[in-house]
Amino acid sequence: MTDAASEPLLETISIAKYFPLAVSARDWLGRTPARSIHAVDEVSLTVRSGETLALIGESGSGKTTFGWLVARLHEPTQGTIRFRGQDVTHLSGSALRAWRRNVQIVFQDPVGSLDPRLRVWQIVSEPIRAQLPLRRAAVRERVAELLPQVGLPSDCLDQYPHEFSGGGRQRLSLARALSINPSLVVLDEPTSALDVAVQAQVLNRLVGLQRERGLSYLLITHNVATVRYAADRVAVLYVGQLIEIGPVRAVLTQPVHPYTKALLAAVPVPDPKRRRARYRISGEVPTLINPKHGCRFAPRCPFVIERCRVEDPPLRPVAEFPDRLVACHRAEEVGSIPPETLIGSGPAPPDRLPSS
Amino acid sequence: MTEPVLSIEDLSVSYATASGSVHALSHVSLEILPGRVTGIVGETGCGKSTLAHAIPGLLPVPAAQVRGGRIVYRGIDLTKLPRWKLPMVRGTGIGMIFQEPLNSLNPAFRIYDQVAEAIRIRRIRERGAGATHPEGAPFDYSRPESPSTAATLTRPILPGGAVQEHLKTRGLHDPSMHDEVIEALTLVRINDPETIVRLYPHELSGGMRQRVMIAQALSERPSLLIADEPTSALDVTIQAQVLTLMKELIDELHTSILFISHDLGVIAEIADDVGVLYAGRLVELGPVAEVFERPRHPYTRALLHAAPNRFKDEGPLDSIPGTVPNLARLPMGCVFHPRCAFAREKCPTDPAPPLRPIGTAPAGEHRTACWHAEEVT
Amino acid sequence: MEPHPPSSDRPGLPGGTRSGRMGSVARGVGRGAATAFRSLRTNSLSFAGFVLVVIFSVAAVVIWADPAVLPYPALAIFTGPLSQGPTWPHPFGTDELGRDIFSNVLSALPTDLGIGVSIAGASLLFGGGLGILAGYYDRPRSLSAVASTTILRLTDLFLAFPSLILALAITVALGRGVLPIVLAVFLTWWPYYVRLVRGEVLAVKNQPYIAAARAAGVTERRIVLRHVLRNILEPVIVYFTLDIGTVIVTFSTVAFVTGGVPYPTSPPVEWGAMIAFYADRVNSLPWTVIFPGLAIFVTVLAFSLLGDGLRDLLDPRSRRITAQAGAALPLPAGAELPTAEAESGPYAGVAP
Repeated sequence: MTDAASEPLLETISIAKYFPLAVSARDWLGRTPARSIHAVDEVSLTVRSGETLALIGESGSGKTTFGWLVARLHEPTQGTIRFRGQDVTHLSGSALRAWRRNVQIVFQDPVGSLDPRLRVWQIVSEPIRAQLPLRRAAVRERVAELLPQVGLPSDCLDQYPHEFSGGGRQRLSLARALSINPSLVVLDEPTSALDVAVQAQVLNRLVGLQRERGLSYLLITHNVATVRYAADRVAVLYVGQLIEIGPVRAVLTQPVHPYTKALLAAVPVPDPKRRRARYRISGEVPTLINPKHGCRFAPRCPFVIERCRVEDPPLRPVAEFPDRLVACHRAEEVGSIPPETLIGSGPAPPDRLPSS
Repeated sequence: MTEPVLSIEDLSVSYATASGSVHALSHVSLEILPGRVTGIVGETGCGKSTLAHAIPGLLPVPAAQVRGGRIVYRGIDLTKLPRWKLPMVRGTGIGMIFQEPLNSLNPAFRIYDQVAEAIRIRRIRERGAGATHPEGAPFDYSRPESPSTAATLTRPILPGGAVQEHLKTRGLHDPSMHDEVIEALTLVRINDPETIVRLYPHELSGGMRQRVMIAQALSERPSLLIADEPTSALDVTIQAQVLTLMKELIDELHTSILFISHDLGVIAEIADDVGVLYAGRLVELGPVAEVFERPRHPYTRALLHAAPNRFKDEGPLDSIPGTVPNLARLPMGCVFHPRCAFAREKCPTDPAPPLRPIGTAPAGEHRTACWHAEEVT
Repeated sequence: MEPHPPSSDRPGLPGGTRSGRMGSVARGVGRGAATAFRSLRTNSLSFAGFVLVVIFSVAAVVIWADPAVLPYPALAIFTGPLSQGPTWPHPFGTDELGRDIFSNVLSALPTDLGIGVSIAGASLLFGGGLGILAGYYDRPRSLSAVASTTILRLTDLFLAFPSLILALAITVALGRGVLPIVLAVFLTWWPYYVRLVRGEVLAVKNQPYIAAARAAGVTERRIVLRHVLRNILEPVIVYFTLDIGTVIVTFSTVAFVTGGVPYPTSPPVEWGAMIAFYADRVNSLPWTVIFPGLAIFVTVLAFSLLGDGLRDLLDPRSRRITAQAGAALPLPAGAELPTAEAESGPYAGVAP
C-alpha cells in the first residue's frame, strides 16, 4: 500500500488542535475540568509528491482546521508535521517565513481572502514580495505571466477584486498561491462557492496545473463529486478524526466505514429514476467539546454494537480491502455492505449482525 | 382538469440601477398544479431568488418593478392586488422557507414563540379574516362549497369578533396552542420537542433550524409552499434527512411546492416537474424524468453534462464555454446563443424563441425555448 | 534577483523606505478620496456640506494668515453706530460698544475650526494608535494581552468622566484660556477613538486575507501597515469628519459655561465665548447672540452633512459598486447578480 519509492512530501503524525474554551468563574469554583474543542484529534496521514489527497467531511469534521495546520497558520496542540522528512512543527520567525515558500493555501471564501483595497497585481504578488526583493516592474511582469495560467487575462493587473466574479476571484487566490512555486497547495473548498459550469473549468485547470508543474494538492471539500474527479487518494474525517483513507476509486465504489457509506448514500444524483425513498441515517454531529471515549459515529451508526460505544476504534488495515485504513471495530463484517442499504429503496440494513 | 394553484403568465421583473435596467426575469410563464412539486433550477444570477420573492410580493418595491405579466394565485391576480391586501395571501396562502434559517428565524425569540406566531396567524385567518382556509384544512379542490379566495379578500380586514376574541386570550398560556406547537414540531420529526421549544435559534444546529422553519411554514397550512434553496446551507447527510422529511410531508399534506435549487441532484430527488432558468428566462419546462433524461435545450443538456461525474483518468470535465451574461446587457436574440454548441443563423438575430411543446410527454407538458430543439441530444 | 535601490517611489517592496510605505498608505487614502468625491456629487445635500466645509476651511486659513482681510479689526470698539441691528456695512450688527459682530464671528472661524480639527485629530492619532495596539496585539495569555487589557481599562476610566465636569475642574486648576479647555476636551475625547479603531481592527483581523498574508510569509508589522490600516481608514475618516462638528459644539459649550475664553478682553475670539458674553443682552441685542450661534450651527451642519454623505457611500454593501458609480442594489437575500466578467480567453483550457 505504501509507495516506498518516494518519500512522502508531507507527513502529519498524530497531529491535534484543541481550542480551549474560556473558563467561567463558576467552572473554576466548581473545579470542572478544563474544556476544549477538539477540532482535529490525532490525525496521521501523508501527502505524496505529485498526488492529490482529498480530505472529505462535513461541518465539524475539522478539515479546514487541518488544512490550516498543514499551512502552519495554527500551532498544533500536539503531534508532528514533517515536510520532506524534516520536522517543521515548531518553526517560527524567519525560518517559518522562509519555509512558507513550500506550502501555500487557497482559502474557502473567495471574497474575504482578497484584500478589497489592493489591486490584483499587489494581491497576487504578495508571496513573491514577502520572500524576494524584486523591483516593482519585475513583480508585475511575473504576475502578468502567471495570470493566463489560471485562466485570467494578463491585462487585469490594476483592477480590484470586486470587479471579478466568484470564479475569477478563486482564480486570483490560486494565482497568488502559485506565485512562488510551492510544492504543496492546500485547497480549501476551491469550488464550493461556484456554479457547476465554472466548477468544471476550475477543476480542469487545477488538474492541468498539477500535471504541468508536478504539484501536490491537499484538497479539502465536502463535495463528493469534486473528490471523485480531482483526487488520487481520499481521507474521510468525522468529528476531528480520520476514519477511512484509501485510493479514491476504491473508497468511492466500496466504502468500508459506515460513515463513509452514509456520506455516499446521502449524495443526491441528478437522475430522477434513482430517487431514494428514505435516508436511514438520523441524528446530527455530536459535540466537539471534550468528546467521550468510543467511536464518535456510534450514536448514528446502523451497525453499532456495545463495543463501539466504549472503545476507540483504531485506524487499521482491513483484510479484504488491502489498500485502506479504516477506524471501525466491525470493518470486516460490514465492509462489504453497499451504501444503498442505507436508503429505503434497497433491502433494510440488518439490525444485528452476528458479533465476532 | 384541475385549476393550477399558481399560474405565472409572461412575468418580467427588472431592477432599476444607476447603470441601467437589470432584467432579472423576462417573460417567465409556468403553472403549478395542486399537490405537485415544481422545481426551478439555475445557476447564480439566473433570477431564481427574484422569482421566489416576486410571487408573494416580497420584492423591494422602488428598485424592483414588475414590467409585465401576471401572477395568478387561485384566480386572483397578485400583481393587481393593492399592497395592503398582500399579507393576507402570505403565510396561509403562500408560505415560504429560505436558505439560511439563522437569518430567517428571529434570534430574539424562543422556538415556541416563533411557531406559536405562525399558528396564531392561521387561527385568525380561520375565523374569518383568512384568505384561503376557512376550515384550516389543506386546500381541497374537490369541495365545491369552499368560498373562493376572491370573496374572502374583499371582506373587511377586521371582521367582527375574530380578532377581538383572539386578543382576549393573548397573554395567557393557551394549552391548546402548546399542544399544537408540539404537534407541529413532531410533524417534522424532531425527537424532543418539549426541550427544543425552550431554546433560541442560535442554540440549534442547522438541520434542526431548517426543520423548525418547515414546521413554522406548514403550521399555516399553505396551499403553496415556496422553498428557496432550503437545503443548500446544510451538510449532505443532513440534507438527505431533510429531503426525506419533505418527501414524506408532501405525501401526507398534499401541499404544492415551488422548490428552487442550483443542485440538479436535489431537484431530481424531490421535484415532479422542473423549469430551467437561464439569465432570467425559462428555457425548458417539463416532467422531471423527461427533462433530465432527454433534455431538449442546449443549456439544460450542458448543465447536466457539466456536473463532475467521473474519475480523473476518464478525461477532462465538460464545461460550458463563456460566462453568464450581464443581466443589464442581455445578448440579442436567444439569450444562450453566445455559448451554445447548436447556435446557427436564426439564433443571434431572431427574437428569443418562445417556450414550445416538444417531446413525447403527453399534452405538451415538455416545453423548450430553442429553435433547434429537435437536434439536441 | 537584482537588488533594488531604496527609493520612495516604490511602495510596498521589502526593504522599502518608510516614506515609501507611507506613500503607499497615502496612495490608498488618495484613491479612496477620489472615489468618494466622485460619488459625493450624486447626493446634493452631502455635496452642499462638502462645499461649505471647503469654503470654511479656505476662509479660516485666509483669515488666520492675514487678519487684515476682515472688514474691521476683530475686537476693535467704536467701529460704527452703537447697538445697531444688521445693516450694511455691519451685516451682523454691532454691540453696545460698537464692535462689529460680523468681523468677530469671522475671526473666530479659524479658532473654532482649528480647535475642532486639532482636538479630533489628536484624539484620532492618540486614541487610534492605542486602538490598533489593543485590537491587533491581543493573543490570549501573552504580554500583548496584558497591554491591550490595560489600554482598554484605561479607556473605560476616561470614558467615565463627564467632559463638562472635567473641563470645569481643569479650568479651575489651570486657569483661563483656550489651552486648558482644549486639554480638557481632548482628555475626554480620545477614548472614543480607541473603541472605534479597536472595533474596526478586530473586524479586519479575522478576515481571511490577513491569514492569507500570513501564509504568504508577510511579517506582522507589514500586515498592520499594508492591510489593516488601509481597511480601517474609511470608517474612521467618516467618524472623524462627523466628529469635528461635535467637538466644536462641545468646546463652545465648555467655553460658554466656564467662561474660560475671555471675550472681549483678549484674543482669540471664540463663538461660545461670544455667546456667553452677550447672553444677558439677548433681548435688547439679539443679533449679538444669534449670529455666533448660527455660525456654530452652520459649521457643524456642514461637517455633519459631509460625514453623513461619506458614511452612506462607504456602507459595505455599496462599497462594491462605488467604483462603478452606481447606486446600491437592494436585492432579496440570496440573490446575486453576475458582475461584469473580467475573464476572457480560452475555456477549453483543459489539461493537455
